[in-house]
Amino acid sequence: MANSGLIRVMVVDDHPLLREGVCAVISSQGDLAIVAETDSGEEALRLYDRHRPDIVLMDLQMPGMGGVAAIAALCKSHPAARIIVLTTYSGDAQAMSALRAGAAGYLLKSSLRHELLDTIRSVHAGGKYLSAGIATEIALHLAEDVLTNRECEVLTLAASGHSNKQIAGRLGLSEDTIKGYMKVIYAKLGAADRTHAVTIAARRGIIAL
Amino acid sequence: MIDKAGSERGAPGAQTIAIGRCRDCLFDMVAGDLATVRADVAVAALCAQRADPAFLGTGIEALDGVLQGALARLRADGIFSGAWGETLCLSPLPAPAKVGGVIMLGMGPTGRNTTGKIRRALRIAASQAARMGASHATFAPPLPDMRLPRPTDVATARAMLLGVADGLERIGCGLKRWSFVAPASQMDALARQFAMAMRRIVEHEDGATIKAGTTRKGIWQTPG
Repeated sequence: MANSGLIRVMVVDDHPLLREGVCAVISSQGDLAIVAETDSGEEALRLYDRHRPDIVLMDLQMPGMGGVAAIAALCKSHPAARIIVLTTYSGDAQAMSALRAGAAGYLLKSSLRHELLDTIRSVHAGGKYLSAGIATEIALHLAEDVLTNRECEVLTLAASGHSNKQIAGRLGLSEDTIKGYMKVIYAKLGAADRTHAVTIAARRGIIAL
Repeated sequence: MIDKAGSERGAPGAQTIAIGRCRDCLFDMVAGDLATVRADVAVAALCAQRADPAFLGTGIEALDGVLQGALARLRADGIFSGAWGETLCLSPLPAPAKVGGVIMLGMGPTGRNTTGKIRRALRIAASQAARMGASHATFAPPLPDMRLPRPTDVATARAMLLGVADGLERIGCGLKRWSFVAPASQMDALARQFAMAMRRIVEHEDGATIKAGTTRKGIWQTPG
């Protein structure tokens, strides 16, 4: 499957136009080649088995299995997989999730063409790459507590417009318990109110809107 | 990945001592730290030891400060484990950083390495710098106050020079300048170590990084 020193790349992104653009950029390079492309995490797992690419470029926000889950699954079944996240999310929480799941690179879609190409080559050579802006974001939230899964669940429902009473009903808890969760969430995020908490959490990639 | 103008920005007023040259790449020593010396990329060598997680090393802590603690956090969180030969590239760096990017270079559990491993680690760093399109890279060599077991001596300095040259040979890159960065108070002593290492290479191992069968003359040059 390996081919004469070429770096073989698979692109996973649910936006066809973006996928096409990335494939065109990669195909224009003499040392890089596209071996597969797909729009979902599930299909990426199947295609990886078939093509064994050297590098996977992975979007995070996709229907069905998201990017982080796909990275975790790929790294579990193929520990040597080299995965670069290519995303619009610049939040620290998303980046940490992806890196902890096993991604070797984290690149924003706003990056320049040569940044993408350099990153593919660096990661293929065994290195890791992280946009410095994201690294700084990660460091800025050093002292803050992370939200628990339940707190994320509560905040996601709040972001969808549910009241505390409705959230309580959905989760089978009392309204007072939800109020307690919201207080803890405000404190952890340094938020003044419900809207502020949702805004901060979305910006940092803690919840997806 | 690198601001190509970075290498032109220079380091006005910084004390600089030339060490020598390998092919087109100039080696020198510059007073300062990795945050204040202008370059395309800074190589920050870090070991994995967690006994003092906040301590990164002389010359590196200033860079970590500019990045608001990102280097320490990445190591503490295990995103960068510090395993020997591991690299994590950060780019582009925000103002007021004077370098275009950072290569975090893992030096193993304690930083205690043979000269062979130091040479290979520097080869990895130089190769990554080349892949990032850097023409000027900076590196802060370990110093006695870094609490690492092996401070820089002539053998270590020689291994570092040869490692960078290996990277140049391997990638065939546009790296034109490699600056060792040290505090002004320690610069003269370190420069003497590197100058002696360079002389040893020129006298005894000229072209040591060149493959068999190719010319071995004129690859390494001392200043002047």
